[in-house]
Amino acid sequence: MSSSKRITKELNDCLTSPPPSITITLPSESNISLWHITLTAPPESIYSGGKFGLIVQFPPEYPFKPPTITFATRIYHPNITNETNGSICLSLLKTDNWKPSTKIVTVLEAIRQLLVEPQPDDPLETRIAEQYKNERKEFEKEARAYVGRYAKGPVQFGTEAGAATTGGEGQQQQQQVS
Amino acid sequence: MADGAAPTGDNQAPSGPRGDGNRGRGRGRGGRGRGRGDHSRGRGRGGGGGRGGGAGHHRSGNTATTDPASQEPKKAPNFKKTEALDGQADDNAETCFICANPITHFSVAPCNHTTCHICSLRLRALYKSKDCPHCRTSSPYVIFTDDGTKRFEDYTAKDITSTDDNIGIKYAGEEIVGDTILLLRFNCPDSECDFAGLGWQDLHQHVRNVHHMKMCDLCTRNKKVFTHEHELFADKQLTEHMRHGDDKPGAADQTGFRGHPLCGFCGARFYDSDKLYEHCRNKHERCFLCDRRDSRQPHYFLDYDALEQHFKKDHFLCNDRECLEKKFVVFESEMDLKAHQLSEHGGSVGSGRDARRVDMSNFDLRQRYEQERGAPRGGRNQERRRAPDPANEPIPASSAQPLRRDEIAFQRQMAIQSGAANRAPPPGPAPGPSRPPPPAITASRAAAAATTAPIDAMENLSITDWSSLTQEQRASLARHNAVVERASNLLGNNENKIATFRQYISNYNRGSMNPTQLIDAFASLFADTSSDTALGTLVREVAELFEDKKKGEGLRAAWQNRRARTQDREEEYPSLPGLGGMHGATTSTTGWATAAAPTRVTLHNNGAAANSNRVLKLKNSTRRGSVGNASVMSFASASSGGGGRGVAASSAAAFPALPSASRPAPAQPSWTAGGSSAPPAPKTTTASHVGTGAVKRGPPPQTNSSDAFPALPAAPKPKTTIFGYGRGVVRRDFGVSRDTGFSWGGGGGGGGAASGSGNAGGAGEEVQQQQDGGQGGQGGKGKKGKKQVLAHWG
Repeated sequence: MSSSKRITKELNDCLTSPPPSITITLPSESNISLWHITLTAPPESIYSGGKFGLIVQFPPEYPFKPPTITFATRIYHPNITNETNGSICLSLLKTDNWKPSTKIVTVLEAIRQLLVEPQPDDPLETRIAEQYKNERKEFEKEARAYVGRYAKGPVQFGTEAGAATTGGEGQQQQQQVS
Repeated sequence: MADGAAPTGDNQAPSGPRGDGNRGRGRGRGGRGRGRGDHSRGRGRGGGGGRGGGAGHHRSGNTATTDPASQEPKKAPNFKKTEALDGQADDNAETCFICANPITHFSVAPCNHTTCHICSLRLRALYKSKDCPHCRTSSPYVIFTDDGTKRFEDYTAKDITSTDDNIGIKYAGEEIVGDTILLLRFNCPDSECDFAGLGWQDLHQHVRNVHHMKMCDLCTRNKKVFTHEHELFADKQLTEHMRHGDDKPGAADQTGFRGHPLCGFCGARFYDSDKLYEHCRNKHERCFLCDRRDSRQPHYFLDYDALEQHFKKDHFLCNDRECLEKKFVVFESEMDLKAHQLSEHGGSVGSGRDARRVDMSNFDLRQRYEQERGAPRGGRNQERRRAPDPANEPIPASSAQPLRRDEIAFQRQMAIQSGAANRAPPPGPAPGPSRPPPPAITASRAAAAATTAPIDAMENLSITDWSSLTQEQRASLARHNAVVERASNLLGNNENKIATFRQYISNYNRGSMNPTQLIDAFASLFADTSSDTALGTLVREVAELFEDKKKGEGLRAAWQNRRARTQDREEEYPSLPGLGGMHGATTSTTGWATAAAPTRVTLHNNGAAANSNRVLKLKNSTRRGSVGNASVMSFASASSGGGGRGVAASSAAAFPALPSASRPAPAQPSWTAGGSSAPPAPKTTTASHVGTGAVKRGPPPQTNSSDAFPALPAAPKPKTTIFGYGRGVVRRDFGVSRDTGFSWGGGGGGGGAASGSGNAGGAGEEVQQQQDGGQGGQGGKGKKGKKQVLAHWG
């Protein structure tokens, strides 16, 4: 696929001029379309001190389709699902808004920015969003607690996290077949 | 592909000119070397004005010696201003920002962002997105050009040689048209093969017969890639592909694809999880309660019956008949159910006390409760309730039976509508629920019964006569109107088109059009405005209108055939810019327009020649390729010979058989002959209205043309023999054509004559092609020539 060339190029760009507080590793040297990212939370965010693992999966159609990016590390955030899946709500990544010219670095930067400024008006976790808006103190406390609980120490990328997240809905429905 | 990994390696490049081309300045892709020759070198930025024949728009000033440095800055600003974030590194200005491949032709959007023409085409034709990939500015048109520096607004009509309205591309040179159109053909994915089919079916057949491989059906239907970018699988591989994907760790083109997900209920696989999800959402039922409880995975059931069983078993389903009909009235806990029953059914169940008692009980009691309520309500479901209606309908008009209320209302309405009509005045005021059998109504009913005019007389009936129609007629008229309305919606209320639509139908009704023709005509008429699905519905409705059952059936059958041949092509695959989309200067200079009609076919069969240059390109973006110099060489010579290279088609015609030197000589004469006689063919096709649609969709032309050239068969035969499925044979074939090509090419050199001969050749080719198609054997063409380029791109 033509995607690999573009991905390679972006990877090289990232390696030659590494974006701030972001580390990229390839879990498998042979698979360039799956990246593991270690994102150091910006000091100005309430998540500071935490290191978050992100999994970037480039679809074969990349860059015509957006990459799938998920948090492997749990995080208490209005725009990130509060579960192991760690789906991110980022308009940049929505199929409708995706631009083929968007670089992955840009996306990662946006995610980093999302840690600084959550977007409670476009939430994935409505409860957290409400809390963020109305009880900021509580929110911050909880968020820090999460950082302490999950985002300290070496970043773990769930073994199959990447696969599970990209599988999306419906894939498991066989289990229900009776 | 392994070699793809090293895009820069040109180990394979046999031809000098191209080899260097694809490296740095990238622009090079074979094209340069080949045709326009001389300018190619200079364009640092790729400004390349050089397109030989056509529109000499060198004025933009990049002469051969242009200093790259001077141009770079010009373009860079465009980029950076708007795309600071996404901005390109600039170290390689000639690399397409989107695909990171060297740019062959530029695609310039109104916002002056550029990409390579392949990415642009991919987006526009396959992804159906006309937004700029950089800034998402909507771009109704982009310009495909070789001049990477000229701004969009600086192009004037005279810089544009062709326009494709469907995809929204303006071409600044016919060479580019060819390069573009070639990408849209049904090219064989085999990197060694330059076969191009008439459609999916055709291509699948070719792949199976010639390569003994398969293509993944799901991928071909859904994957948004050009045909030649699909994979070929052996049986086992295909199974593997379906189940687990064919990720090739380490390979440059590995994709991370993990197989097509399976629907456990249906045993069917779907392209991706989105499609599966869609399928499950439409065909299966999901338990929202379980989902709520465990959001990690969806909980599906085969259908609502199964779900209802599950509700009964694991949740608290309200057994009230209405609620059962409503579906999904089910609760997580018994308490919720009770609350529901109290609030919703409390009243009707009887006294509150009773209700309470019932609620507290379990299933047994509820069943009683169900009976209690069920009895008075009658039918278990709506059907039963509705049952009486049909019984009422057929009441003979003469019978004295009272009318039902709705009938009365209808009659009255009709009467009012026809107001002026000399009908009896509307029935007495306010008939009310009682069944006033106003004389007028009875009369009109009788009248209706009496009327037995054939439906086809309908056109003559005015609406005011409504009430004089039998119910059957009324229904028919209503259907008629519905069809017309649907059609005009689909046609965007374009009066002319609607008139054409009506014309087609009446032609068909009169027998002057056969079903296939009608379908093809529809296809082209609706091609630009509606989806295949919508057209299918329309066709079905139209078919029902014919009182002659056979006509309706014929139409349906023709539609099925067409569907079978085109498959879901339209959904995923762009319609080829054929007559419909293409227009412009093309005609005069290059004759592309002429060629366009038979494009699909022509190209297809010419594939060999045209491809050699171009296919490579195409394929090159994804595949490794082996390249033959021969083709390149031939191309070059040919092009130099015929000063104007303008049109893909013509050039193709000129060099039908690039590849091998082997030659089945005998065939040649017949081909040529065919060619000369052929020219009319395309016209016929067009005339019969297959126009755009037909061209796009392969199949139609086939039919038409074969009709048109009954005489041809003789010639084809030799081909058949020659073609065979084996490759060796194929090649030979080509060899032959190639010879032919040469002579044609010579003619082309002459100038005006060139295009003429080119077209003729094209036509001939077309015919041949069709013949081949008819016989099911597609000639594969040997063409190894250009693949190398492919390889580079990897």
